[in-house]
Amino acid sequence: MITYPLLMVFLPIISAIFIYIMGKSWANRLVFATQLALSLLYLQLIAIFPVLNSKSLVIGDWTLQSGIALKIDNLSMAFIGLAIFMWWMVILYAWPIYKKDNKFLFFLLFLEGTFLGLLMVNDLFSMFVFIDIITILSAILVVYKKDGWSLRSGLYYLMINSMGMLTYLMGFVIVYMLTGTLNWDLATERLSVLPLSPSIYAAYILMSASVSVKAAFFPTFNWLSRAHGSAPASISALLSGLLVKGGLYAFIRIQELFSRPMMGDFFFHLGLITALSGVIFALSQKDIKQMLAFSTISQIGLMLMGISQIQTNIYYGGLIHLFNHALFKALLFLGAGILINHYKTRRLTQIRGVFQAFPLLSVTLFIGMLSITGAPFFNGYIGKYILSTELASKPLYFSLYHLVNLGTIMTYMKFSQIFFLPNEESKPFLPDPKQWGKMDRPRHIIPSLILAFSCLFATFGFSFLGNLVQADFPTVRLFSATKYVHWSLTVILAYILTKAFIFTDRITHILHAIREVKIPFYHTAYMFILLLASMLVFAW
Amino acid sequence: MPTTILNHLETFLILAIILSGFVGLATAKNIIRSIICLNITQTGIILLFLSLVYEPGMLPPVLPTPTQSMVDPTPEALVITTIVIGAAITSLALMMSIKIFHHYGTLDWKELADREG
Repeated sequence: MITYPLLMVFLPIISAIFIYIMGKSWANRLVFATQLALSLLYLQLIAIFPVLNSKSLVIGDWTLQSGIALKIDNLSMAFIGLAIFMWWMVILYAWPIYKKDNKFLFFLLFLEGTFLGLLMVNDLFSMFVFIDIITILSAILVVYKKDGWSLRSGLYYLMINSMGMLTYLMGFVIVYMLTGTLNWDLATERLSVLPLSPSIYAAYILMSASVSVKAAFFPTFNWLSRAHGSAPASISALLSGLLVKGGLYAFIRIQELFSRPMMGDFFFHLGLITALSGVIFALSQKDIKQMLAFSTISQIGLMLMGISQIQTNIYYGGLIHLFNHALFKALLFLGAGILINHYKTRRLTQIRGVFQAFPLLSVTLFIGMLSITGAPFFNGYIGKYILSTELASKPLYFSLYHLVNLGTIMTYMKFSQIFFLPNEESKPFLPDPKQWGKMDRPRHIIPSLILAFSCLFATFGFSFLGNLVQADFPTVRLFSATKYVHWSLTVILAYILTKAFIFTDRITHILHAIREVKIPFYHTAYMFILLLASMLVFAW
Repeated sequence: MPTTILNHLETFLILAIILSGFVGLATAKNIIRSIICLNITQTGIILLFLSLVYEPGMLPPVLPTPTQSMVDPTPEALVITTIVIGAAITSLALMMSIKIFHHYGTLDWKELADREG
């Protein structure tokens, strides 16, 4: 029984090592064989899932008390499926570029093994180990181009995330002292019978603060825009679509570990602040990938608002938005990667005429943009439907939520200037008109097409996906006049505001000032300590 | 009674090490200093872990010792893994900072943040 989960972790790692040692181009094709084997293993896992569900599988003949255990439940099952799918997309995208580069494929496959391990592992220490290996490997992938910018952001990413993991270590020491075990289930059981004491609060604060660095919550989010902006396009898609969600997954698990509602409200407000600040930064960017990265931060804020309220309807809203966000953000990042390759620039103001030059790619990008804004019939609608329905009874949060949505739509209206032909006076680089439409034949953009289709599928097949995550998924009405009216009004308002402010010179200096905010590492560390202190004050 | 005071003193000293590591992270302007502070914090946490599981009179968990008078062996296994991970992170961070120094000629966080592109 334990063979299948173990194979899922070690198969990618072993074949990664094989690819690295062989260093031949025929061996590199093993990537596809591994992916195929993993997909088949996943189908096998689905088949035996009724037996496997929420059962602790201990490696070797150890007891549950001291052994390393794996556990697969609904949540990890859904995440594993998403992870394998995302790796398919990234490998399909990266294959033409890196098919001769065995080092890149080595790191990519190794990362897949460790990420799948993180999703299945069921003890406190192994989770620490896996998160740290993921940090190291993704830092290497971020600096893969070895230019100055990516080196700086890679180091920044590595330092901030390992600083965050130190507090996880402290929290886990406290949990071990309180319960005498490392096993997640046993620790949950023993913690739930202990009276609520300052040490439990200390453990909770330390552990969730460390995860808040990993998942880019409010004060410590600025590593995300740098790392995701400077990495190669395929890695940006993977980081933004999936690896950040590894932090959110750990966050959900930590909430489950402490089993009673601890500081859900604190994280709800933190999510709101994250969403607002992400939107403000995204609006001010001129770099196409930085803009997408900051928009990821604002969407993470929305997800956190959902998943901080565990065991309520809004929790499922955040969770389903997490899965949908992976699809459309990967779509947008891969599309941006193709554009940057052709235009040789990352500035929004320099990229023009995408609609003429890349008609098919533009359609997929439009699908991604409509999805992230929560348009009806696109998959972002579902998560946002649940969030806005649940928030409707609280006017303040409801209006702030709509402010975030307005900002998101304005961001993507600014983004959409790349589709049109330039004015007469400005002369940005344009692809040769003879080449228009020839650069995006379906075979060039297979991953984008698949992701666009899955965005559309996820809208109508969400009840199927919802069943995969949790059985008691709240109802979502795809045809809801109020939501349609809300969305259209927001779009009209966003259009007016974008015309009035973003495309004119009125607030250029403000946007410039926001764009120029550069936070060095030690200020981020300082803000991390402030976050810990504010959580302490809140717990008091 | 003296042993409990000693125990508390020990814990406070270790907490002071951890705290000084964090203060260093929040103030160090140089990349190498930040990496050193990261290591100091980690060492402090390891010390905390080992001192918390230790009880007076217990022997190290090496085999000829009877199991009743051994300290809990799990933390030692965990600590070794933590040290290995810390070494990996440190070496990677140092490697990157060498590259950054070759590229920009500085190891100052503020100066690096102000550079364009």
